[in-house]
Amino acid sequence: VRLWLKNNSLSLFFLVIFVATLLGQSFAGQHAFNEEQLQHGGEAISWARYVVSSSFGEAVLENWQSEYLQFTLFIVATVWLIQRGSNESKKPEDVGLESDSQQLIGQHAQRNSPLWAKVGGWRTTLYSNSLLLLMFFIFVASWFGQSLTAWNEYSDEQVQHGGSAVSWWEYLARPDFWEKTLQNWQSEFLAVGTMAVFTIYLRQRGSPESKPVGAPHSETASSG
Amino acid sequence: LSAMRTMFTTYLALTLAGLGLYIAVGLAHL
Repeated sequence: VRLWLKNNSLSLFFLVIFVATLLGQSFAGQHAFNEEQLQHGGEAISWARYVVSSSFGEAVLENWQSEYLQFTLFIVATVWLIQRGSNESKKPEDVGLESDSQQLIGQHAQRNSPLWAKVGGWRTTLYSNSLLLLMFFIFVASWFGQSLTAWNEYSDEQVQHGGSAVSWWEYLARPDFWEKTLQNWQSEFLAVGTMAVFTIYLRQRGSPESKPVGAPHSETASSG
Repeated sequence: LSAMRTMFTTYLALTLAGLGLYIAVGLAHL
């Protein structure tokens, strides 16, 4: 059990803090939601009801979509774009999809390579892009979910204030949707750019996100 | 090997469950 925990400690750590913070968000969110309800003469709702509300769903998914967009863009951009000296970048000579032998696919696959890396054809093509495809799918699905839940909230609010409900299509063109979307995107893009650039000159001893402490600033793509 | 698969499946199930739940919540309003 101890070895099992150690071998999976990175994913377990993030799983635990994800669940803890999501629970925290749900309790804080319920209280904030109820405060507003009471101020507007509405009724307070239970935690269980709040967890399956559009209000909570929107708050969750608006952050999810931007994180998955960030990784989607980072995965695809780092195939083609480089930053000299950055640990987040590959070497200038490796730009692009790289050769089959570098990628260990088809006849260059090793004995223990995944089956779909060995077989060639559409399965190898699909498997060669599977990480990007899944991250992109989660981004699109969570952005779609954000648009639906935010639209519910927006429409309800319009009606409560004497306006008329808007359709989902109309909501997609409203500034509310784009403000919620872009405020999340901008922070992700800044953080990724920052990470790419800061690893040129700064180090964290022992972290694979950093070059070795003694690596020269001009060295691109190495792990500590 | 099975532990790696467990972690992979856990994360995949978690994200898909979250997406499914809140897309359903969003659509329920229709």
